[in-house]
Amino acid sequence: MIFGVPLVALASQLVIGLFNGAFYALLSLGLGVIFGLLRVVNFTHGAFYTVGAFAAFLLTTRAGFSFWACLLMAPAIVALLAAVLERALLRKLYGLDALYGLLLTFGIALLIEGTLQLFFGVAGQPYQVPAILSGTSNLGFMFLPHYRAFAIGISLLICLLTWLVIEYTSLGAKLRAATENSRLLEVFGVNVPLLLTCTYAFGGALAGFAGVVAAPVFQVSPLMGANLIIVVFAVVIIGGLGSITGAIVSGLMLGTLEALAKVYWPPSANLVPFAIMAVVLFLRPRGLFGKGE
Amino acid sequence: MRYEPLLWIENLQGWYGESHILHGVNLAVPRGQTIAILGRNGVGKTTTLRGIVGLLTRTTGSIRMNGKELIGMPRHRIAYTGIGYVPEERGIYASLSVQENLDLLPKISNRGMSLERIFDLFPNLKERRRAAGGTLSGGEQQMLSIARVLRAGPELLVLDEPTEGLSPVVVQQIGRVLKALKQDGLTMLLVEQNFHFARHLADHFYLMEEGRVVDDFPAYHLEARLETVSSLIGV
Ligand SMILES: Nc1ncnc2c1ncn2[C@@H]1O[C@H](COP(=O)(O)OP(=O)(O)OP(=O)(O)O)[C@@H](O)[C@H]1O
Ligand SMILES: [Mg+2]
Repeated sequence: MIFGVPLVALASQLVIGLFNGAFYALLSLGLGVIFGLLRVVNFTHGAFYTVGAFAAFLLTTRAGFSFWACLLMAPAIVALLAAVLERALLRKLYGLDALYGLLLTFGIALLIEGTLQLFFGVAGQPYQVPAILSGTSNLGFMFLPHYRAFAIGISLLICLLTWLVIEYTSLGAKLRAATENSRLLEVFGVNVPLLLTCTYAFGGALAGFAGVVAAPVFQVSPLMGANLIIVVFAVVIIGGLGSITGAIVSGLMLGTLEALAKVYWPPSANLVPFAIMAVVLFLRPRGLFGKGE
Repeated sequence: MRYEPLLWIENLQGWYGESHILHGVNLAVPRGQTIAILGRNGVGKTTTLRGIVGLLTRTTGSIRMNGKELIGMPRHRIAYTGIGYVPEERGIYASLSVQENLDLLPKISNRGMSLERIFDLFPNLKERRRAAGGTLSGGEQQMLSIARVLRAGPELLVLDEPTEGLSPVVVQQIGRVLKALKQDGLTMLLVEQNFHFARHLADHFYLMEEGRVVDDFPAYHLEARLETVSSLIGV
């Protein structure tokens, strides 16, 4: 018993918290990278997550692809969609007030979600957990569902790889330089327009990846992203806009705190992200890891 | 076309947004020479250089580099005609380390300088290679700004006031480096307020006033022109 809560219950809630936190981290990481470079608050992000889940659902139920194939194919599809949107629409708004980008991406999200509702209705569709991950292990103090452990592990791995690329490779150095002064970087011969397209596509792919990983646990539905993305914006604000570490750490932290709130004071769980956001905004408006401008 | 200058600017007009700043700049930078642009504050020297590298809102006229027209060329292609740009504000990436700043630029030719030679010319940078760009002193930033374009391998070095705000010792050091580069045959276009610095380097001078080139003369006419030059730029 810990503060009157059985260890088993606490441990299982923590796993659920980390599981949710892993999604927050993947999504806020993509949002953060996109905002850092494009200066666009990407309201389409939740829709990218939804498209990722639907792509997996359709690829598996209609074309017979395995979950593992979907894990690669669905993010690629979302990346392609994002690249087209960036080239055709978003690009036209660079240099204008950030509000335009926000309105455009919000509009695109509504369009995507509306289209999916037209074809699939609002009801959720089930997606099978891959057989090899369907079991549960008894750890003595708790039962650990294999799929959740896998989801946490692979999400964190992707976050870690992204972080390594940004911090330690020459591509990452170009990204960071473009975040500081992209016009000068262009003068030096770096194809910044291409870099922007790739960044938007990559951010989209991260969201699509999260969508595939989410599909077996949550129902695949047109509004699954819209519900999640609001919390993810709170995560981004808590971590600090544009901070990579901030996105990952605060994503996991928020998932965990939410889970703890569910154990100790269930009615507060939904409020936790926003309460923390309010406190952070009040004490440190730039976010926990934000560097400020 | 051996006799065409490396860089050739004809009737360059330039705008920042709605404000028309350049009203007809004509100048030629022959291969292997160092050209200096002189002129009072605000006459458009920096704007001319920004026009060359594609940083103005709009330009008309003609800028030919190595036989290629730069006006209308996508900004990220311009460097590949052989231009290395050292901006007035130095443009060091504060969140990148010195080493990352040095490795940042794509190679635009196989003339790129080796790290060894770079650290030979700028020993301070070697000691500071792990430091963040944002922590460098003004002199170190200027050296890094020059060093990193040399790594890319330009044919023409475009320098905007490389000595501005630096101590005499650092000015001397940068002077020695530019002399060495000139001896190696590198072509340079230099904007400089420090007239005494420029006169030791330049082969030819251009004078600017109110967005125009108003006069130009070779270095060996400098003595005879000293009075006009002084009255124009106030040295
Ligand atoms: N970003 C800008 N937007 C609008 N006008 C500008 C901008 N930068 C410079 N100007 C204007 O253009 C004119 C020329 O400026 P420029 O920087 O080219 O002068 P300069 O000859 O380099 O002067 P200095 O010796 O002070 O560096 C000035 O009148 C200046 O006010
Ligand atoms: Mg200037």
